[in-house]
Amino acid sequence: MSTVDIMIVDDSPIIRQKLTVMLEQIGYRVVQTAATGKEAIAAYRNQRPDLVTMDITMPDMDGIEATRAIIGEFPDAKIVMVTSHGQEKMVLEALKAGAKGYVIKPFQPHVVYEAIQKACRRTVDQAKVQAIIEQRLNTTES
Amino acid sequence: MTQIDRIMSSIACRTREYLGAEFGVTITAANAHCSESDQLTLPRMTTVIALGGNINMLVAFGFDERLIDLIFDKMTEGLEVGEDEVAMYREAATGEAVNTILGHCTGDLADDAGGVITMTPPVILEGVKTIRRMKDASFYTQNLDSAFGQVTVNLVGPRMIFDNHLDYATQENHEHR
Repeated sequence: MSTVDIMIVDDSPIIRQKLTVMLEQIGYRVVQTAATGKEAIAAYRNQRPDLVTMDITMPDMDGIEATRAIIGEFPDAKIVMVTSHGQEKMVLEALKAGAKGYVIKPFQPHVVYEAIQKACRRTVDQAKVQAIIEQRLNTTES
Repeated sequence: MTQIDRIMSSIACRTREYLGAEFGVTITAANAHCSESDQLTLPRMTTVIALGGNINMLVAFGFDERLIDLIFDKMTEGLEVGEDEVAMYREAATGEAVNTILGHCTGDLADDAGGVITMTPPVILEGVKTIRRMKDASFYTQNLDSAFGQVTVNLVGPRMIFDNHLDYATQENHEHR
């Protein structure tokens, strides 16, 4: 498994630490943390991590708004929500904002791992599809 | 079932589930009542979260000291916490516990008409606090018992007449009513 650079966004220092320990034990690399939506946007611009884990309820700016802002500026950004919100409508809002996955707290390592892998695989699949399309176009033209 | 009954039932159920699964704490008894007293006294460390949408109330959780110790110890297992950070992490641990419980409750309580139930980040109130009931305010209290002490859940509403520290929002609000 290739290393994935991750940014953790959560207003709880406990969650930031616990997720860091968990993700690093799995084999990922935590390159940045942020405690609010606004901090997350600024940090993303600076760091451009491979993936972001994003809480929803935060002071200053919530995680769905931050997701929308990051995806608006960086459409290829991969964001997985990690939150206690259990409403279906909240999940839909997050996915509409551009999140690639949703994990409910309290989180288990295997669930977080699967969500991250799935989010990362989507981009790999898109690249493959694009390459196939281009190859077919080149074949057709020739 | 009234809306208050639904809210209290969901909170009791999710608290029982969460404390049981994460901390091995069994809730042995739960009683809910609509407080008719003129004042509400909150325990020494109380976590307040405001719920929006069709709920529109503030929820104040208080845990007995032994429960706070247990939650803190379990949540910080394997983490580095400096001596000067213990107080902050104790607050963070209880805040996260309440945030998780109520987050799960929003799934139970959301309805199609009401839209999304929003939550505010947890606010920790230190020190015993007394709230006097003004004209339109309502207080509902639920106590959940365990071998590690009590969880006290207070519902305070309506949300618009209180701020997130459970102070009345403005003097005009009181007089207007």
